[in-house]
Parts: sequence; structure tokens; C-alpha cells
Amino acid sequence: MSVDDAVARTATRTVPQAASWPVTRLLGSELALIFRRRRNIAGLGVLAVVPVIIAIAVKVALPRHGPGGADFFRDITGNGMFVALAALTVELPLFLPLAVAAISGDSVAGEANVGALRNLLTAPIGRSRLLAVKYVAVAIFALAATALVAVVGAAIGLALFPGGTMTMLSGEQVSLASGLVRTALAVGYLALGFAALGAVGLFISTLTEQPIGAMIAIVILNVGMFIMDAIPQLSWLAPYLLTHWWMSFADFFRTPILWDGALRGALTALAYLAVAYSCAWARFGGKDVTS
Amino acid sequence: MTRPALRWFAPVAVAAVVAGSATFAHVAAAEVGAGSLPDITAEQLVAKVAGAIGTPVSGIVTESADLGLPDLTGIGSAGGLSGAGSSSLLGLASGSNTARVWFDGPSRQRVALLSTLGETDLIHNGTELWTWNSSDNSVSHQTLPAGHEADSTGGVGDGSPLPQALTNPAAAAQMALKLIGGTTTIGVDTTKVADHAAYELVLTPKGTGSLISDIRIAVDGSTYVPLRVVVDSARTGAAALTIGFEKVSFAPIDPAQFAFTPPPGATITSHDAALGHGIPTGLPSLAGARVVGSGWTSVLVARPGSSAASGTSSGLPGAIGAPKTGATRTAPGGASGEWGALLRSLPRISGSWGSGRVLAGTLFTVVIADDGTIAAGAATEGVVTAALAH
Repeated sequence: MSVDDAVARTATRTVPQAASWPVTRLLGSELALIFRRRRNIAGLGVLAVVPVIIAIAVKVALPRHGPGGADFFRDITGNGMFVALAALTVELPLFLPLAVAAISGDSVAGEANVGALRNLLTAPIGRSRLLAVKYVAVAIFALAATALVAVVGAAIGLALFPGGTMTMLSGEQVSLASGLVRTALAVGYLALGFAALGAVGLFISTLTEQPIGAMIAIVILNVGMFIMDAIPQLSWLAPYLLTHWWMSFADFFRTPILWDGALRGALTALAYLAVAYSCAWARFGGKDVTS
Repeated sequence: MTRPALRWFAPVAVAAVVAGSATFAHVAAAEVGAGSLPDITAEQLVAKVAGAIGTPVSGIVTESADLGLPDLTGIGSAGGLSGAGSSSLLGLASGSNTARVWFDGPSRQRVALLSTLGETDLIHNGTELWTWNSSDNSVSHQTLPAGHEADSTGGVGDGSPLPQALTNPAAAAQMALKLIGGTTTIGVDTTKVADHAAYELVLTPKGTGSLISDIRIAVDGSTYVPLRVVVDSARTGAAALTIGFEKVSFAPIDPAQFAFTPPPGATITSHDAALGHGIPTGLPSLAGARVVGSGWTSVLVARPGSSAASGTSSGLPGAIGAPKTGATRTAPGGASGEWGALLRSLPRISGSWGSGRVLAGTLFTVVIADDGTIAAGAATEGVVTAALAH
């Protein structure tokens, strides 16, 4: 945590002791803190660069079109929209969870680390609502980061490659409008998964005053779930892993849409979210805030 | 809050609600079914099943196999089976797979084998047979002769009766019912498949020596459509092969589901219909082979050098995914390549019949003698080697 950040925080969070402190204003301040911080902007920049790299690499390597590529990559030459899906596939295991881990891990521990939490708690809105605002900001970030990847991917894809009808995994063609709706569904579904990871991150963030430690713990948890999912002997555990269902976003690109996996994935995400958030609430509400 | 510890009741309660509702959904689903169906005899059930052919069925089928085979994936990628989609079809022999299926009578079927970011589709619509493989963007097309539906259960073209038999419980049940004879004890039980109350036809071998402890065919209690086939292994005491609906609907199917137009940019290969039917589809079609024994413990013995040689190259090893190259013809002594390496990894056995190597699966035993004779059956090693000595 740099001195800059500490100054920025205390500057933004000069808490007026007025009778009212609207929740929306606090949320606005929280979002401004997330989206204006330079390291977060740099992080979002990295997320947005991936689809650009993919699109240019495929464009340059166009003649080497053939079997063997990952599915969404191969489809890019047919329809630029697939850049968005290829980028989501690539960023799904690490980049996007890492971004969510950075924000959610910092959420409470970051304030405590720079001594801003005590100050923040003097706001007359109560700890529960403060935590809710913190979480809503994390969830908005998760959606924004996922949507950013898809929007940049679609934009660069459609700029470099043809648009028009999209070939689904089932080999059938759908209109670009249908493709956009499916992509929006996929983004919403993935964002819910990342928001659930963010809830776990929020809980971990209430346990420590070291935001870096919280972030590392969340990333380890995320990668750990991917590893456990890949061990055949642990296949009985797989349906209970949050990350197990993330790849089901591809089911939106079958004809007709296969809802079962995404539905199970959404329920799993909601279960993680509810348990983790209530843990965060229990911990944060009863926490001795000394810094 | 003065007593922070009390706050932890909240997450405990939330976790309990989550776990409870998940368990409840599970238990509630299990409650449906068993006990609510009227008694029925095996004969009535089989007749009802035969009468139910043509009922539209769609849903999600899962297949899981524990055949005890060596890892064949390397061989599959080296040699491949016939045509598009073979790499996915090879995967059916081990592990578990999920497919979306639409069956609308004998003339229209679609099977979509799902993989994480891909799909292999087999679409049969009247005289059209399409395969689509999303991983290499390939389409194969075949025009079938009119009236081919009569033998459709035996395998429609492209040398791939496999997806039909392995993903269509109806076809699998029919195959299993052919085994019924004086050798089998037949019982009817009730069970539940995909939230549907179902009868379960249990076929148990009467004699000893079979590796199949029983075959259980679950049939929907109201439509009499087969929903699940389970083959239990006598060797492991557990299910070696399970094919069944995880989700099923008997509603009419939109005909558009069977219409396939190759997407632009796809590689399209056309097959001659006659070619597809010329490929041996199973053990009984092996030329020059003989069957020793009968019923559940019958053993197929094929000898090289005679006309059976061509059978060994395209029949038995081919059925489990060997490349159709010279390597299989010279098996086992001069076997080379991955198939040879696979053979050499098998344990050696010997007896009064000679010596060779044995592939001991959970449902079948294959003995490859040093002179190249191959004996295979769903029976114990003793029964199979006895057939060699015969």
C-alpha cells in the first residue's frame, strides 16, 4: 500500500458527521475508489489487451487455419464475435479471477491496512450496510471486468473479421443478434461466478489487515479449485466446486441452448455467495476495529 | 453487537439452508417412483417396450464405462477409427460422457456428444446422415438408400453403430434382450430414472463363468420407453457400463432439430452409402471365426492365416480402436507401433492350450495366443482359455 493510496483514501473518505450519509453516495465513492485507482485501471487494461492480442494473432496467422485449435479460436476467422468468447475462455481460469481477487481482497483489508477503516466506521450507516456497499461494488467490478473483455473482444473481432451469422458448437447458424444475446447471457453467467468468488474474497478480506495476503489466498483458492476439478479421483467433489461450472458458459452456444449446466452453475455460485457473504457479515460485524 | 459470537449463527444457518435444500431436492427426486407402479410380468414389459418404439424421446443421456481397458487414447489419435468424430467415439470406452439426444422414431435421430468447448453431432433424417465435429469444423454427409430404417438398429452407415447402441437405451435394450434364453433368470423390479418411476428388467446369467453379473434395463413406467441400461461386472461387483437418461422428455420434437445445413467454411466429405454398410459392425460378422460354448459364456475364437485374418484386422481390434494398418495383421509376435506396445504391456499367461497374453476387462476377457489366435468372450479367463484348447 503506497502513501499515495493512503492519501487518496483519507482524501476521499473525509467522513462528514452529518446526520445522513446516503448509501448510494457511499457506493459512488467506493466505485470511484475502485475504478479510479491507477493499479486497477492498469489491471483492466491487461484484461482488455488479451482479446486484442488474440484478434491480431489470428489475423496475422490466417493462412494457418486448420484443425487442432481450441474451438472458439478456430471460429474467429468465420465470425469476429468469437474473439470475445476466445478471450473469455483464455481469461477465465486466472486473469479474471485474479482481478476479482485483487478488488475483493483489498475491499476491507485495504482500508484496515491504511488505517482508514476506523474512520469509515464513524459514518452513521452501520457496519452491515457498509459491508453491503463494499460487496455491491465488488460485484459491479466483476460484471464490468467480464463485460469489458467481451465488449473489447467483440469490437476488435468485428473490426478485423466478418460479422453476420455465427456457427454454434452444434454446427447450426444463428443470427448476429442471437449471438449477441447469447454472449450477454454468457457474460452475466460468468460475472455471477466471479461475484461469488468476490464474496469469498470479501470474507477473507475481513479476516486480515493485509490486502496482499487476502488476494493471494483467494487466487490460491481459485487455482486450487481448478486443480481439484482436474483430478479424476476427486470427480465426486467436482460438482461442488465453484469453478467447475464456469466452462458451462459455452453451453449458451449450442442449439438449442443447454440450460442445465448453467443453471447448476448459477445455483452453485449463489450458494457460495450466500455462505461467504454471511460469513463476512458475521466476521465484520463482530470485528474489533483498531486501525 | 455485544456478543459477536452469536453473529456466526447466520452463516451456519445459511449453510444449513443451502445444504438442506440441495439434499431435499435430491431426496424429493428419489421419493418419486418406486412402489407406485402396478405389478407387471417380464413378458408384458418386453411387449410394451416393443410397442413403445417410435415414441419421441429427447433428453440428456450420460454414459459411464469402466471396462478395465488399457488407455487407448494415444492409439486413437495415431490411427483413428473411421471418419469424423471418431476421437470422441473412442472416448466412450472409458470414463463418462454426456450426450443430448433426440429420437423421433426409426427415421429421425440426433445425438450430440458434448465436450467442454465442443460437440460431435450425428444427425439422421430420413435418407440423410450427417456428422458434425466442432473441433475440426468438419461435416460428413451420406445419402442412405430408402427403406434402410428396417436395419437401422444394426447400425446406420459410416461404420459407426457405436453411438446408436451406446447412447440410445432402446437400441441397447434390444441388443440385450436378444441374449434372453434358457440361460437367463429374468426378474422385474422397480426403480427411478431421471425423476421417472420405472420398471427394471433384471437379467441374470444362470450358470457360472460369466463376467456379467447382471444386466438391468430400466423402462419408463408410463411410456415403456427404455431409460437406462446397467451392466454389472462379476469381476468388480460394480456397474461396468451405465447408459441412461439423466433428463428425459416424451414431448413431440421440433422437426427442425433434425434439419442440418453445413455451416459455411466447414470441410465436407461425402461417403458412399455402400461403404458404410461394408464395414464389419461387430464380432458376429467376423469371417472364419467360430463360437465355442453358448449363452453368456460363449467365446469367439478367430485364427489368423485363414479368411479370419481380414477379420482380425478390421474386426476385433478395430472395435476397440486399433489403427487399421499392417500392425494389427502381424499381431502379436511381430506387432509394432503403439498397438504392439499395448500388446506387450498385457500380462502373459500359459496353459495346456499354449501361451499368450490376456486382456482382462471388467466385462470381457480377450486372450491373444502366441500363434496369433484370438479368443474373446464375456467370461472368465478360465472359460476363454478352455475355448482356445477346444
